[in-house]
Amino acid sequence: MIRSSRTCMFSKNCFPQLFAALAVAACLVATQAAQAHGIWFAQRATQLALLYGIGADDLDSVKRQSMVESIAGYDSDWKPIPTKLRVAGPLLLVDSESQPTVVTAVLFNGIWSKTPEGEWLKKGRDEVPNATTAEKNYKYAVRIVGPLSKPVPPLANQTLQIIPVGAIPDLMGKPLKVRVLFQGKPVGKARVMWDWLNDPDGKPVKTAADGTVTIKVRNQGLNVITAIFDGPSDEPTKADKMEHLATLSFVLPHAPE
Amino acid sequence: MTREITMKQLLSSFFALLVLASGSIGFNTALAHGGTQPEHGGIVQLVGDMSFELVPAADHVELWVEDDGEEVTSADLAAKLTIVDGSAKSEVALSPAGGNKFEAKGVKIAKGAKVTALLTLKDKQSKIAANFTIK
Repeated sequence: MIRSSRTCMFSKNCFPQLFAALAVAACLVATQAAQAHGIWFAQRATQLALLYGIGADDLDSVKRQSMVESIAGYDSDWKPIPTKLRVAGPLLLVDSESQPTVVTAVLFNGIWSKTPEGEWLKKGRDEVPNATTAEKNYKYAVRIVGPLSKPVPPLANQTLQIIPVGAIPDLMGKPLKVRVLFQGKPVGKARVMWDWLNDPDGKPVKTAADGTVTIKVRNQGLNVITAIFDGPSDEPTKADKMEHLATLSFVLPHAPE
Repeated sequence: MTREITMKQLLSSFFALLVLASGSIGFNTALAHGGTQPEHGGIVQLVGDMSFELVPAADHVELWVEDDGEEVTSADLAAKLTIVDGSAKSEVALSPAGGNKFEAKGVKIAKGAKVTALLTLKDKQSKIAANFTIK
């Protein structure tokens, strides 16, 4: 007997398929929850905010404030400017004593293990011995407020960092060469995405051995470029690897009104 | 006859709508942000809703501030300048000087210097900055 898909939805025989589909969907959701989030800086109501999420999912950053390991601001000579985060309603705002040229942050997102069933648990391999993978997650963010008068150097605490090579173009669609550094050195095979906010499912491009890759500037507005790199674990009993996710954000100004 | 009158009515309605639309566009533009023309002989920078006019004079410096086209009371705010002149960097605190004006006396900013004006808003926490190059 041939069943239509509609009939199948209500058939006992199809429950296993339904559960399988639900399980796959749950895995996908769990996978995103554990791995696919980043931090970046963006303007909110004229102020600079540290955001956490992916794509249009601008999630609760305030509840993650305790996971922020560092926040820093620099002037155009790369001298540190006293900078902190302050809670303002549902936002974490950047509060600097002077106008910074660049702001950075680091967030430790914990250790996550994936069970054979595909579920992500916020536990180490020591607690989930049958995990198919266990990883330690760090998120980094650099915001170029500008104007830059010197090239961006490797910055403190930015274990993974995206650096523009040359000047950032004024117009969207123009090519931008970036170099990805891991522990201050160029790294190949880092996965770079040109627009973390508006194209989060886009295909990443990998950096060459010298750490460089050329992408197009996506937006005449906020740009959030992302790099992801898996490094060795510093706690092998708990995590098989460390996933580092770095963002570089900057704004191309709109035309005068 | 009836058809001709209807066309005329339609045309006048159409033009009336055009006039209204262009008026409202102009109105929005005027209200959305401060003006770009200096009112005190200085340099104007727009940052979002805020308009900053920096007036570097021979023996003092002035900063005039508007928010969304309206003057804001400088006494409710705080402002300072960071001046980068070649390798020299200095900070100048500005004092409210009535209305929407800030001022610092005894300050001369050289041509070519880069100036960042940092305004702290009424909540004493939020800050907005504008960058200038003195010509």
